Amino acid sequence: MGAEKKPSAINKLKAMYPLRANVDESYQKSQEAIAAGEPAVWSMVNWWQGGPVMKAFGLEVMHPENYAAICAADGVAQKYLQESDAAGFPSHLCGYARTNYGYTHRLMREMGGQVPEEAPLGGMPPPILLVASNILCDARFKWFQGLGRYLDAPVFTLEMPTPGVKEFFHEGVYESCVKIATESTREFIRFVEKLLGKKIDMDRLAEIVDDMIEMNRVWYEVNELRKAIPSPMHSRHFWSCMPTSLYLLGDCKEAIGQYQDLRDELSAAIANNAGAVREEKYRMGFAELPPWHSLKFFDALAERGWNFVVESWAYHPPIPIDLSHVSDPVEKIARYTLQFQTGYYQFAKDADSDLGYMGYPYVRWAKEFKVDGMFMHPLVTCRSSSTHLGYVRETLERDLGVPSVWLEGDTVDFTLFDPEDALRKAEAFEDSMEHYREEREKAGFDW
Amino acid sequence: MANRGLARAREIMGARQERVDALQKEGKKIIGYMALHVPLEIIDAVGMVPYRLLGDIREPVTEADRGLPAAFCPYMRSMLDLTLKGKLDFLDGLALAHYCDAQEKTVRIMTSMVDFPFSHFIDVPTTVHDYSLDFFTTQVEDFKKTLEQYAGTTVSDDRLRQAIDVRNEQRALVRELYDRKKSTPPALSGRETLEVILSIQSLPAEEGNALLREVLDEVEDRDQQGAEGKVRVLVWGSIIDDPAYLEVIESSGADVVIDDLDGGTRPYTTDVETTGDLVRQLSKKYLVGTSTPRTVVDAGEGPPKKDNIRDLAARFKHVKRFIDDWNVDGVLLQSVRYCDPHGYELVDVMDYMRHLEVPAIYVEHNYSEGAFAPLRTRVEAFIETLE
Repeated sequence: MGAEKKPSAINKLKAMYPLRANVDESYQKSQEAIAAGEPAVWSMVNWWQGGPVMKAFGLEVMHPENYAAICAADGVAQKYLQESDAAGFPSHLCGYARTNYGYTHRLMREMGGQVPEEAPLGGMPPPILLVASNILCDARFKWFQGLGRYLDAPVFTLEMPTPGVKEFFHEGVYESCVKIATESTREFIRFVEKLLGKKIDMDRLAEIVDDMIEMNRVWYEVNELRKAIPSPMHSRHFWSCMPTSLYLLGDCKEAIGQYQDLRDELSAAIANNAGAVREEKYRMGFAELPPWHSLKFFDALAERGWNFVVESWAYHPPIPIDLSHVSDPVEKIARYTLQFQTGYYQFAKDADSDLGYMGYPYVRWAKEFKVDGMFMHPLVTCRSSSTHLGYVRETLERDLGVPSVWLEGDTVDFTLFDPEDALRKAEAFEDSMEHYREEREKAGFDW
Repeated sequence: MANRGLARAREIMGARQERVDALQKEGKKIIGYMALHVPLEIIDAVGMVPYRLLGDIREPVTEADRGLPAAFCPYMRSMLDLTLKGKLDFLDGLALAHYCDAQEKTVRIMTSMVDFPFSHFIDVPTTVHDYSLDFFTTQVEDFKKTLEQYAGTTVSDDRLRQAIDVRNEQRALVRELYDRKKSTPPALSGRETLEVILSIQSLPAEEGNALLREVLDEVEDRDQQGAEGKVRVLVWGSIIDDPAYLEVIESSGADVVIDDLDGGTRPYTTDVETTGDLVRQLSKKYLVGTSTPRTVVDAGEGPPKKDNIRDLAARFKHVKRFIDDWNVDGVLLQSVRYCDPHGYELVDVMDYMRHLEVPAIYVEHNYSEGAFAPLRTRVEAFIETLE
């Protein structure tokens, strides 16, 4: 008689399953289409700049960043990391990139373009196009340049500006940002039209863009509901639900319904005072990218009453923006992705912070979500998601009396993350959170 | 100021702060900048002095952990460390630009954690399309306007053209300096070259040009008769802002005859045209005319296929020219650890060197004096393969 499986301390959300299933279904659908002769495209996450265009063209898009996370969760990433090192790529590069380099090396040099048997979800076949993006980090355009030794697919790099916070509000700067983002997206359309030998259907693009904006609006509302005490949704579920939005998986209209179902379920949970963990003792934030290979670690923390109520800024939808006055779908895309990049700039400027994206949003969130502690997960191989953490830690403690626990790790390389050690540190961190809770009360904060 | 030429350059490098103090006593405002996309001519034109910010490989990093993780560009960590220790407090302002992701985020942290009298951030596009240049031009215009407000002045076209002419002269003088290294043996060492370049980046442009002219006169008269050349090396990669690094290479048996470095040739390979819209011309030079791994330049090929060798040849044509014109025997690729633009570029450069059949090695270091011993070992072994 086997041991009885212990139920997770994180409550399940029914509406999460269809959203999570979109990942597998999307890969399966892409595999079938590619097997039937449709071309594959590899794309960086581009925060809805290039995604709707590719969707309008009907392209089968695979995301090496997401696929690296899948390889990590599946346990095969380690093999690809070693292949990357052996091929001469520096070991300090992005873990996702190294996984992809190792995978592509094996795909092209060892398998002659046939997907290796160990590749999860049917693998990623050789692409006809590589779509890079300059948003958030250098890796996401340099990485695809480096694939030139294996692939003859052309690379297109999408431009999205990263203006300074106070400079963003200078006369003419916002419109110049919109202009470059619009022109880059138009150039991308021309590029793909030339590649495929067919014109884009602009009506179809407009429909997708509107659906995408509506989908993210609902998804934003879902996350706003997590401010409730107790919070009805845990970060683990967020990470399961977010790929549909971030990677624009499946049909956008269906996705709107799926996120609406999730919103309804959370609303009902709030009405019933039902939290995501059995007893919410500590409301936690998580910055930035999770250890995909060790997500069960969060179950152990949930047993202790840790409820992760907000996380991973780069995976969140932008603060909703009214773009109904913009008729051109390409310009609408530009303004929308720019809103992702700069949506927190005004708040940051008001707080005299120059970290308008990635950094400052956590400070704002800590207050809005009434966070007791921040779990900092600096990544050895991802500078972009780690650079701001020290600043956030210092600002949270100084300005809001919110302490942070600092645990190094990696998104794909499980040898760089020690869950047992992390758990020990987390337990000790509870004393800090109790202390700072008292300090916040003395200082007049309302949590 | 008894010293002249190379001795003067070494003196400045040894005490950069002294010259800055003197300039500030004269009423000059000092604007700190980092490589390579800040249009220095605008700072010159408002009557201020651009001052290249350097890290310090000899200073233990003790404060930067407050703002940056350990696994991060050590040059940027050094920069933040110096900032938090108050060692940049003398600056009258900062002119910052989006060179790489690490620098872009570090400067945001710097200016969030420390108040400077003035700071301005210039975003730099990733590509060199026309629309990228349009955008960069608006960024440069915004910088000009903001700095003019801070300086309480307006820069006329004539004034800007004068500033451009002086900087163009400086770039020409630096190219001439490198030309003197084509001989066997080169007329000046890599260490001396770097000392001169880092010195002029600490001085008003005219003063820098005077120093360059002194150095050119000095090396013209150098007696190289009978001297033997050593293995001729090109050094490529991320920042080297301490001449001792090149001295280690040269004392290991190589002549550093040319480089592709931010602290070396990169700012000086192209000039600013002085016709038409000057701000646009400046933008063109500092975006399109400044070749580094952080900017995507391709062979101009559209779909459907990419020819990798053509792409590499387009991206590294300047490296090939250096190899040919400076008669290079081998290439030393070096980078600080955790430098993403150079880390990704490395494999492509290495592939291109293989294609050209030029010997190359890669050395990664942690931006400290501790890097010197392993560097010497690697360089000595490399030189043995070339002799």
